[in-house]
Amino acid sequence: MTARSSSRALLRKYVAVGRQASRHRLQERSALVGRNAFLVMVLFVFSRLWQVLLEDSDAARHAGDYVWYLAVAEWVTLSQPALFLEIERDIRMGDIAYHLTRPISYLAFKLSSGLAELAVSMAVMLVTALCTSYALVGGWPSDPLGLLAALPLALAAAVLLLLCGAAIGLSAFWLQDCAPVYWIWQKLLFVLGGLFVPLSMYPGWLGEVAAWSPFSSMLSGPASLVFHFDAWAVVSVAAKLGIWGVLGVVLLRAVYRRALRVIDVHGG
Amino acid sequence: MRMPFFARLLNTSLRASMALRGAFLLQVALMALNNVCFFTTWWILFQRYDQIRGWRMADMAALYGVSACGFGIAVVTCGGIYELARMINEGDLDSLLTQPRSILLRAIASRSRASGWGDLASGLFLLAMSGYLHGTGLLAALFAVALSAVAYIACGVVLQSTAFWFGRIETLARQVFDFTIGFSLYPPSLFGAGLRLVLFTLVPAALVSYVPVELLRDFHLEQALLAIGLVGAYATFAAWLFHRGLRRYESGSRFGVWG
Repeated sequence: MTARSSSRALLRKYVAVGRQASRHRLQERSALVGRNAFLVMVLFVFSRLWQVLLEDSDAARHAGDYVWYLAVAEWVTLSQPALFLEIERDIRMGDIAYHLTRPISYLAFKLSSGLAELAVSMAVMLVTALCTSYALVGGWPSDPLGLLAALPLALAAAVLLLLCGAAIGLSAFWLQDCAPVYWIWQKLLFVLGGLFVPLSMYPGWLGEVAAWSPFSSMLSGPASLVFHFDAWAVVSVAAKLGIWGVLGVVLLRAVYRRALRVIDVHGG
Repeated sequence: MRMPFFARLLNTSLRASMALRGAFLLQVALMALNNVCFFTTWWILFQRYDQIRGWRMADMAALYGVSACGFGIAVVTCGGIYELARMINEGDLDSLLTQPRSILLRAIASRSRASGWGDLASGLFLLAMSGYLHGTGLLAALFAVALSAVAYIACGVVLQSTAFWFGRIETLARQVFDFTIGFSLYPPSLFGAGLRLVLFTLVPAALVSYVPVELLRDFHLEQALLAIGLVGAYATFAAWLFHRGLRRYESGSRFGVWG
């Protein structure tokens, strides 16, 4: 077998894993419906909020852009599968031992299924986000090209969030219960990522802190493009996502290797 | 007769939820942090905007505070409201039917959620931050929080009791309950008359937060009596609905153990 054919065989395994995971995700209709309903609720409430906040200002005609901003940001966060919980459960129940004997990397297996679930969620929620925002705002954002540019960057951000979720899940090797770590990380994401309000509206010191954090490139970076398409901003956000993505992959592999050594030390 | 029983039930469920001290404290701290982080969004908005249709930062802090405290007390004392539909569907009410005690009280008060203490702590912090807790405001706040807690418990009972008629409705019931919590954290001045009607009925966010917090913002005796009437009527309806549904209850064949 050549290296090329063995790579193809490996890829076929991960594709099969992903296909199974996506079928499973589609069967969990109540969870999908629940998340979509929540997205509609949040978009509706914030559409009212921005209309009221901006009604007496020059920016009133741009109130809809803030709804589109929230739609993109929520699309990224609400689509996330609970990968950290699955990994934590495998570690706590000891099921990971069975996975390690298979001819497929446990981490790659989990990431494949996570990516597939993410793809299904994002596809469904994209339709909800676009239709709801269009109906609430009465049209596209002021600069529709910005929305077009935001979508692929938001997709990349969602993948980066998934990698972070996997790293948090692996922390269960040491912490057993990684839910607290996830909650803190999630709240930092919401606040420093500018989930509900663009970072440009933050008070000076908080905006600076947020801008230097990785969270700003995950949410506010892509979502802010709906206000105005800027090629330089697109390149900047893409570069930041790329850098944080590479760091994320390196960190994830390092954590996984360290975790495997922990298993060996405990006698497998 | 019911109050001493409720007190003993509460004592047992509280001790069960606090059995693992580390996990208990962690849940409390993280829920408090969670609520404060969500409130940060409003803090950021109010740095730029003075008011939102008459609602200022202090009013938003009071709204969050009353809702969080009310919810916290509801799930600490009656955490079973989250499990009622499952208990109905899986026949877990069987063992309660033979006991000479209130079935509803036993079902909802037998569990306590540790995270509710975090809601209570963050709610008290936000109420203190609102500046309404001085003089008679303290009494008004206690009154508002009590009303909110009763409304939350009643809401949970109403939603979960629909399982008597519709079966596997846990997910939908929880979703509507989450919507109630969600809507309760936004100023009512954002919504039109039509939606406000919904918020007084199907998704009773008005009963759990708007009505109680208005007493804190501007206390009037007539308003207080009206609030007691509304929340009292809702709670009575909740109890009636549960007992009406109990007539349709079909026993399961599972054995269960109640602590």
